[in-house]
Amino acid sequence: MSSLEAQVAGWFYTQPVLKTQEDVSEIITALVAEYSTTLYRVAYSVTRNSAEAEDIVQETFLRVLKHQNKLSDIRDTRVWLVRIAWNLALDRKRRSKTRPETEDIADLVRTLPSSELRADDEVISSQEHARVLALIDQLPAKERQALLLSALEELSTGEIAHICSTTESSIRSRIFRARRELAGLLTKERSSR
Amino acid sequence: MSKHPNSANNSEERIDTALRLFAHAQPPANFEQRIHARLYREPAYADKAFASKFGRFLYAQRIVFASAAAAVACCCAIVIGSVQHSRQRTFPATGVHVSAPGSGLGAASGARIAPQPVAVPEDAHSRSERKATGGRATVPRDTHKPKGVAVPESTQPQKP
Repeated sequence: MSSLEAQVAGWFYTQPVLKTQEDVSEIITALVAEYSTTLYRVAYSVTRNSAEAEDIVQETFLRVLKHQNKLSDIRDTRVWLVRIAWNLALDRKRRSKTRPETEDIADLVRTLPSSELRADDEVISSQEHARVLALIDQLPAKERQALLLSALEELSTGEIAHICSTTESSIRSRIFRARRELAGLLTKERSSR
Repeated sequence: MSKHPNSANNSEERIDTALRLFAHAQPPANFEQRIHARLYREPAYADKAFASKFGRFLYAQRIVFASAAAAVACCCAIVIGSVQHSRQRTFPATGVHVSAPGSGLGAASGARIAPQPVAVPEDAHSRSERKATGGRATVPRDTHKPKGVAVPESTQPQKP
């Protein structure tokens, strides 16, 4: 190609439209379908309130919409979304400390299908669940985060490590420490009763 | 620390059971629809949709728009060039007619100023110069002439 042709081609070359709105809508629809439940569980594990968890998930996808140009640069979408949801949930929890607690744990225990809980789980009352969760809240922030995220089957240890910006071995030790400390708190609570 | 032999296992089970609540938490009904509704309600989404549609329309019709812009530019160039050219062609005034204002007389009695003669530059010369002398074409005698062509003898001009 001669220089003139190259020059003419340069004049008439226009940047192709990378992502049309339909593309973005399709991407977000796919993300909602794939990750909304995981994000709901992440948000619910922090807020323990169904309405707030739903609001956080919506807020998470609004953030995705806001940063749609970065979507192609994101390596692990699940990690990115969970991190957004986790941070939003922590913010919400921090703000709601001034308000009275509105936990839906009792509702959750009632609404869970019986097949998803073992027989002995059903025996444990919702108050006991609430007690354990209250003790989880007493754990240090890093251990609590690792423990709560490890409860979600969708997330591997590696993904949790990415979310927490640390190594897998560190996550394992955090989970171990959290469980040990929680077990100690539960034993202490039982002995005091 | 634990008095009951199974208390450690029991604690682990209680922790697992409590954590399982989160693992099996199900979002409420029509959860995804509400997310989509919220996203579509977002003004940024609507604005971007309009901007994207407009951008896509411009991109699809880019050749048409480029041709139209080129045509308009050509028209503008022609009009401007024409106007510039007509301004440069200033015809010499053959006679400026100046009426006498305030004299009550019309154009017929106005002063007529003759146009100024055009000054000829020193180095000016005519476009072509006549080489022939005496205003007549001459054919030299030794000029090769084809056979059969009769060439009249040049006559000397009569002296008065």
